[in-house]
Formats: sequence, C-alpha cells, structure tokens
Amino acid sequence: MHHRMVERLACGSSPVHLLDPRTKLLAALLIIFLLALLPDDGFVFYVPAGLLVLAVMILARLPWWFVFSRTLMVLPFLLLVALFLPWAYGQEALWCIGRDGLCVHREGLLLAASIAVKGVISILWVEMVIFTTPILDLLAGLRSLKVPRVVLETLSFLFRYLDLVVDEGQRLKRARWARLAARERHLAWRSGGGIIGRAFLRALRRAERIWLAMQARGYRGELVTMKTLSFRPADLLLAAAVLAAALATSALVWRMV
Amino acid sequence: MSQALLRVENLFYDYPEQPVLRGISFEMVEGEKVALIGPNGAGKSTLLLCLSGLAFGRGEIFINGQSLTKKSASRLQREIGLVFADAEDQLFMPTLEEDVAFGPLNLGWSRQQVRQAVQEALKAMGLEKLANRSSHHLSDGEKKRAALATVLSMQPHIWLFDEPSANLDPRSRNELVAIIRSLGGTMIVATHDLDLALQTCGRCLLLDDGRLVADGEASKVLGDRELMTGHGLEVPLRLLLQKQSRP
Repeated sequence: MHHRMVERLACGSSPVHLLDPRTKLLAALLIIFLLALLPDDGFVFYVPAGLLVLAVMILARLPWWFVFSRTLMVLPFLLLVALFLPWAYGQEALWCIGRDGLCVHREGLLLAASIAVKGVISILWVEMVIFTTPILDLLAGLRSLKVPRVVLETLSFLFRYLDLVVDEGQRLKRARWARLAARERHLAWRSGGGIIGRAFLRALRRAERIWLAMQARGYRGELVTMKTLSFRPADLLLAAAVLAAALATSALVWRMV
Repeated sequence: MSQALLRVENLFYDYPEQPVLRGISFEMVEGEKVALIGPNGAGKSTLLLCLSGLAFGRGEIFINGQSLTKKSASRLQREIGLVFADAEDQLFMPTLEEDVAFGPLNLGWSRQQVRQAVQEALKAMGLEKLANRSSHHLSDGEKKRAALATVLSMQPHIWLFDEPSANLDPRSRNELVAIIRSLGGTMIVATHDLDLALQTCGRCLLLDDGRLVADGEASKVLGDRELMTGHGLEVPLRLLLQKQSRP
C-alpha cells in the first residue's frame, strides 16, 4: 500500500522532517497561491518555486522514484487540459486541420503548458509536506491552523481505516470470484456495483460502531490528542526562504507589468 | 450484605417493531464477576450498551446508587469501561498510544496523568514497544489487548466485555483469560465461549429472547444440561470432562 510507504517516509529524521508542520503547510499554501496568481507566460517566475521545493526534497532525502511515481498520478488530469485547451482557447492560430477547421492556438498552448508546470510544482509542494510529516503531526498542524473539526476527523479515520476498507473490498472480490464459473469470470465486472454497495453498507455499520466506541470513551465532539507543536529556529529559516522567494517573484512580476 | 454497585430494574429496550430486552432485573456487588450468556439475538450486546449509557430503554439502571439517565450518562460513563467485540471498532486513532490516551484525554485529565496512565496500561498489556505503531499492523491477539489497554487507561470500576474471545487463537485466548482474571473491579463478560465464562466468572446470567431465564453460580447454571440445551447452548467441555473424571 502506497500510504504505508508514505507513513515510513514521514517518520524520517532529516532537518525537513523536524520542521513544525505548520511551517511546511503555510509555506506550501503560500507558494501554491502565488503560483496560481502568476501570469501564464511567465515561466521564468516558476523557477524559484520549483528549485526551492527540489532543494527541500533533497534535504529531506526523499526517494526520487517514489516522488516521481506519485507525481505521475496528476498527469491524466494535466493531459486532459493539455489536449483540449490549445483547440478551445486563443486567437492566434498556429496550425489548422483543413480550411476553416479546428485550429491549435498559441494562447491555448501557453495556458496548457502553464497549467501543467504550475500543477506539477504545486503537487511537489504538497508531496513535500505529506512525505515529511507524520499523520499525527499533520493533523495537529491543521488543527492549530483552525481547519474544521469534521475535515480533520475524516482525514484521521481515512488514514486509520483505509487498509481495512481495502481488505474488506478484497474479501468481497474473492467471494465473488469463488462463486463465478471459470467461463463467466470475464463478466465479473457486472457485479462491481453490488460489491461497492455492500462495501458501503459495511463501512456504514462500522462507522456506527466506531461512533459508539468513541462515545463510550467520553468523546463529546472534540478530538483531543497528545500531540503538542513548537516552532524552532529551522522553521524561521524555511519561512524566510519561502517569503523571500515569494516577495522576489512578486516584485519582478510587478516590475514587468 | 454489601450495597449493590450496579442495579438494573425492569429494563426494557425495543428496536423498531422488535422488543430486545423484556424486563431485565439484577444486581451486582463490587468485585463480582458475572458471565452473560445466551443464544444469538438474546439481547446481550444491547444490555451492555444500555449499561454503558450508549442506549436508553425503559426501566432503571443504578450505578453506585445513582440513576443512569441521558443527563447523567457522561458523568457515570467514567465508571464504566466497555470492550467491544471487534477490536478494530475500538482502535480508531492513527497510533496505539493516541488510542490509549483518547479516553483519559476526554475525561479531562492533565497531560502528565494521561502519559502515566497510557504507559501503565500499555505495560500491563505488554504493548509498550508497539506504542507508536498503527493498530492495523497488530495481530488479532495484540489488537484485543490494545482494545483492553484503551479501557484500562481510563481506570473504570465496572468492566463490560462483549465477546472478548471472538477471533482469537488458543494462545491469545488463554492470555486474555489470564488478563481478565488479573483485572480488579466488577465485570460482566458477555460471551458464547462458555469455557471462558466458567474460567473467569463466579456467577452466570442466562438471557434468552430478551428475558433473564437463569441467575446463579456459574458452575451450576453452565452445568445444567436441560437448561442449557433448552436455550440453544451446551454444557462447557470443561464441566463435562470434570463430571466424567469423577468416580
């Protein structure tokens, strides 16, 4: 399971792992927000954000193959954008199919490339936070940043019960497989809806039991944990680097405009 | 005669169009260990939910002389520790340590008290080395002990066990029996494992179709072949062997 690998990575001891989760979260959010505001043709401005996250990842000693494989997951979405935008957006035609046919536009190409680069850099920042922060620290950081309780509890339970839901899904799949005759196995997909429905009902029943178990141990609506957070000098360093990159980029863009 | 720690008076509980408990009444004194047996659907789990203030029917439940109502439930729940049949339901936090700390933190204990209670509970269950592990990585036996640790850290006066030996192999089951016997306090063990009932409890309540049909010394109730078979149960193997070995 990939999330178990993420769990192992997050328990590292590099200087990045030791940073306060709030610093990492706020830095990532600031960079992603800034990237979204940058002009589509200003590729040079994406460089600091990209270099900074790569430097942080090297410092965190994250395995490149894993980061790369996780980043590939967003590619289908980016490809979809890249495929349609150049045809649908812009005025300056670069290439057309026949006379008065569909055309690829310069502005659309630029926008697609810009979305792809911004998307990949943003995903790298999110991965940096997730791959270097244990789930409990991440939840404590989000809690201290006043993220709504229901979101935090959903994240916490998702992390805890993901394996269990996958296991239950596998059991249902095996049970279906065992009852199908060999020649009917290619039709197994037909009962997929039923499996999803049953998995949902089981999850619902489990949720009810967990709710009772929480109430039995005094839960009254607020998830309290042992985790306490504290800022360290290294946090100031990352915050300063991100702020400097953000300010420099903003100043350059301002001057160009 | 010592004063009853737990008293149930004429308790009824209904699911929509289906009565589950029909006029249950009994008393328990401090330190008493009671087995709650009965066939599937007899109402054992529902009775435990009512006793732990998680379900409310008609009738009265008194804990230490105080009536258990919706209003008093949050206060009286501190006295009661419920161990669920499926340990997975009870281990919902990302790590074992956070799970064991969950109860004491909700009771409003100081961090220092919580830390100490967590350490003691994990040590008592032999799980100190697994404190930072996710519950998913534990074996079924470890999960059961972890579930016990989550309740032990709250230091309840009354323990309620729902099917404690479900899904356990013989070694884990024997460990569990030893743990249950070593626990102080008052307890109710709802189980289909009649040997476990005999090994851990001195008194036995037999529930069938929502009614209390027998209440007495465990070896007598469990050894009554007619009573047991009449309610879909069997005399425990341990008692049968004892009878056979007698001259």
